Amino acid sequence: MASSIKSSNRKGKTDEVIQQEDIIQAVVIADSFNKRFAPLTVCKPKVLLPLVNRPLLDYTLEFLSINGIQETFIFCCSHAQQIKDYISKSSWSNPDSHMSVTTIVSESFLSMGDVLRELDSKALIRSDFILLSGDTVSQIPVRDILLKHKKQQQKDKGMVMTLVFKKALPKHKTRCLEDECVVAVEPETERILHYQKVGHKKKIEFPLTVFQENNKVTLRYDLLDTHISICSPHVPPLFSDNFDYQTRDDFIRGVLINEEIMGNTVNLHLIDDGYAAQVSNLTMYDAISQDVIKRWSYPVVPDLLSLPGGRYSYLRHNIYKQKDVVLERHCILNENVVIGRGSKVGSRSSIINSVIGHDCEIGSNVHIDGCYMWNNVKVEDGCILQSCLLANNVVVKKGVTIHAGSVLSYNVVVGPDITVKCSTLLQAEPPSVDMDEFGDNETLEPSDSIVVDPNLVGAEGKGFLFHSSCESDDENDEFPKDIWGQTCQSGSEGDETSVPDSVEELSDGDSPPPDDLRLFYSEVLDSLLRGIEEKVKWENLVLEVNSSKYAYNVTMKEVNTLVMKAILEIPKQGSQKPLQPQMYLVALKPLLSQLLPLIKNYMKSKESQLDCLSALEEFGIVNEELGVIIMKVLHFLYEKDVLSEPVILEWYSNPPVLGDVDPAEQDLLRKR
Amino acid sequence: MEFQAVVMAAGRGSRMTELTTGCPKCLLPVGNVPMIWYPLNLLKRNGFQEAIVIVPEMAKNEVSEARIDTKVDMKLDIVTIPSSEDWGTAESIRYIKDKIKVDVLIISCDLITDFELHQLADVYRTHSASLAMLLAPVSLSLVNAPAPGQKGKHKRVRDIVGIESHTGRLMFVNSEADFEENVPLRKFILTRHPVVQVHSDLMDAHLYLMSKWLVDYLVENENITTIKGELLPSVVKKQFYHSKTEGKNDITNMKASVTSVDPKKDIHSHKKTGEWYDLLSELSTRSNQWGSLDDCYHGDQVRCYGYIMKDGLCVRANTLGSYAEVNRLIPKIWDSVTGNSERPISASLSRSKSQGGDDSMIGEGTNIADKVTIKKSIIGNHCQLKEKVKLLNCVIMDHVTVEEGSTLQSCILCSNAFVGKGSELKDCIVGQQQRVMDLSKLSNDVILEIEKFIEI
Repeated sequence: MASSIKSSNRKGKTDEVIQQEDIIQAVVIADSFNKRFAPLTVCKPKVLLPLVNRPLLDYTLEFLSINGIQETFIFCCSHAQQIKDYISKSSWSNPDSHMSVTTIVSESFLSMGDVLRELDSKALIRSDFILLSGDTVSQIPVRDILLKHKKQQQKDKGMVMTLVFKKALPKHKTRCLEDECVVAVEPETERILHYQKVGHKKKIEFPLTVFQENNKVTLRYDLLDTHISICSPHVPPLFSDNFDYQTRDDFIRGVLINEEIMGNTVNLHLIDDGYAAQVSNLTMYDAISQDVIKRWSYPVVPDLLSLPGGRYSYLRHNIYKQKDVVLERHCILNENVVIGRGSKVGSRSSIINSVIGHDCEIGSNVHIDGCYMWNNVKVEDGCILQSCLLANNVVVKKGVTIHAGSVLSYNVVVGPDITVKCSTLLQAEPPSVDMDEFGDNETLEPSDSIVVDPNLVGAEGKGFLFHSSCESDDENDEFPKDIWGQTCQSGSEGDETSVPDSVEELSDGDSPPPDDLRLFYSEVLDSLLRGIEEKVKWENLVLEVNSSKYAYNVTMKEVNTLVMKAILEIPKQGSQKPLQPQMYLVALKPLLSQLLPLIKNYMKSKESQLDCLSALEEFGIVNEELGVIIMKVLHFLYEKDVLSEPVILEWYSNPPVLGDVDPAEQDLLRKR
Repeated sequence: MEFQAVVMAAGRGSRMTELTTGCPKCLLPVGNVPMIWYPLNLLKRNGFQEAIVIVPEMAKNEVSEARIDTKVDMKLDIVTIPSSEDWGTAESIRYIKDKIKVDVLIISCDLITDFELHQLADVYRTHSASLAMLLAPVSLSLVNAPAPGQKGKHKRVRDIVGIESHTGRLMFVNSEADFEENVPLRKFILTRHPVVQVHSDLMDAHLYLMSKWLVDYLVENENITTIKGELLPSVVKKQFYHSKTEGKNDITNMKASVTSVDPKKDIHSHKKTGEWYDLLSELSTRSNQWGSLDDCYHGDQVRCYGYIMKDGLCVRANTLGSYAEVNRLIPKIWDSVTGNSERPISASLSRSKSQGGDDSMIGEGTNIADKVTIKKSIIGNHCQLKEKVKLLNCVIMDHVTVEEGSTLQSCILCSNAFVGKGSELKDCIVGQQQRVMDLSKLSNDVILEIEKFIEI
């Protein structure tokens, strides 16, 4: 590694641009300002959580140091002291380290925006700098991107930020669902014209002006947000000027909106090869751990990193072992397994796709798939663990099954012989003690009142359910969340591809008239259903139907037919199976009396009565089993003076095109 | 026969009515040959032996008189559409449906290009597409070419074309007027086609390859009137939606049950794939996208592709400005757009003391008197140019007389026009059989027989 540092230094000297600026600075934000890793982050800062047995912050700092960054500022907020201590003890604060690391602490930071405002007020920044979060795993040549940023800035003075994205197709495992975004880029200058988070949207809208003002625009949905950005010295003042900028997204949005006024622009840099990702939540923790084990992030792989406890030896099938690992007879390390120093695996246990920390003890007949165990974890015999995270000192007693997505925080004990459900978050401290990092305190209840629930953690267990509810109010629900252990890519795509139900999807290309009618019909049906439910006055219903009529541009004739049809349809709505005629009639009767004024309103003239009759007839034909009803309805309407006799007779003598007049004939005979 | 060629020559030339009052658009001369000769020549060059040509009824005689078929040596089936109808392109295709037996190539009569058709056909065949269209970069000199006789600038309505760059699959093709403030795109489409290139600088060359079944679809959907404006955007959009009743072609559409209209098939029931095709796609392990193991084309049956011309020439003489500009260009581009065809006979200038360069073309039987200067102009057959006439940037059709000492700049003179002595015309259009008095000084004028103009 030393050689790689040297080489990048040499490169720096040959490079004129860099020389002028002397040193390159980086700003690391060591707080994610969210609680996605709770309860693990309750007593430890997120950046110090281990990923493949190494604190996250080390990945970030080493990434910067390999790239020849000379000065790094770490901004910390929660658990700042721990980070400070960690840095002061680590090799980063060695006097001969070529990168100086300064920690800046303020408990008052609530967002990335605050950090950058602080940066501005302290005037620490001399030139373009790299902004990233303290949980970045990467090996990209960020220095080259910085140079490119400088070059582009010479061309375009207003360019203030280069966002680094990695190419990753949709559904890529390392794409974070919360960061899904679509970017419109000008292909030649790589200027970002439009940036949009996808969130739950099914339809993504791009402003037309983007395409009108640019001859060529590339829309990209193949991006993985690395959260690494190259910023100009103008960026911190921009944050100071705009107090509402909380996040980088706010900033990008602001810059794009004010582009014409301020003249600032944001560029995109796409990395094709190379690895960069941010451990933003548990799903990403899982995905990135696997990437590291499977060597996608080479040279950031366990056997090449300096890790506490000595080097790892790399065996085939991506098995990594440190010293003093004890593997008993018949235990199987399938593939993609990292085992830390002093850990022990019992006989007939199998491990796959997992990381095991230092001094862990795994009993016999244990099956571990996709789990992350930190240090001193004890798993007793016969357990089955699936995709879960066990923090330091967790004890899993014998015969426990843990389902996917569960997190057992420090010192939790579960078992014996229980099953932990999917996505269970457990912590050793009673939950009522509000561990809110930001100190917005809710009432602190006495913790004694809460007892360990043996159904949850087992007879000898120790642990409490962690409630993530307090999280949801400061997170916006606008974005889908990755839930670890669940494939949350909703399968809605399947039905989307079939011809959409509501025809509006297709209607702007061509709107054949039946579609309008259909929409109108469904609207009328809805109005009536609601009207009946809420006992809306018939005048208002008429008003509603009429306004629908204008909205869909439907002729009066069709209105008459469809209104009648809808009324007849209503009793069928409730039940799934075909109704018996008697039942149907029972349901229809009160309905007809309730809606009588409405029917009367529409069926005034002779023509409209004819329409009504043909609707009745059609209904009778379509629903054969209800054919008998038609005459009853007819009779009812006749008695209520909706339909006049001459009209019925005329209708009878000139049966409209539909042909099947059998029931109608009977009607008339009986009526006579 | 893989494709049947259909030349759409029934356009009214609504963007150049000044010229089309006396002459059907397809016969307007470009470089002294009727415009329609260029697409026919293109077809001939690319191996077509016959073509269906759709012309308006009133132009039938003129078209047959022009003896285009012998000029290009092709078998032409000239179909006329009733002049009482103002049909769109889709309606014209519907009209000739009985003649269409296989996939069709549809080309507009105003297309002048050196494009090799096989490039588009290759795209069509590779993806077994339903529709393939040619897109060409808009040449700005043509779009912004000053149109004689017009004041102010035409606002060009651009097309917004979204295309997946590495495959050429069309994502959307719409006129900018189709959108309000936003251009919507479904997320699942983006998921399947994550990189979409959106162009607003492309021109639809009106050269399409279309499946036979799409013609059947067109026949059944009578509310579609134009290919470009209606059929294309809707088919492109429907690509991504699969039929609910896949595999059961005869199931009628659900829509039909609401109103008692005739059951209408939706677009997917028209696409007939055939047993072999299904078997092939079932047994094939080929996947043509990155990052997923979905079927080829994600199971999309309807597929539309675009081919963007990278270099070469592609112009459409469909507006006054572009018509004039194409004429100016034609002496230079003749060889490339016609595949080195013989140039129309040029009267030699050498015997007169007039000046004229390679940038001009002069028709047969034209008399040019002494001291005539001709620059960048096209002069038709049997014209009389009297002494000291100066022509710059002009298009002069047949049997035109320009009297002594007149100076014409950037003008279009229709056939049998007459310009009197000592006139000075700039940016003017002189209609068929119109006379310009002696010593007239006009600029930006259109001289036409008024009633006729209004009638059109």
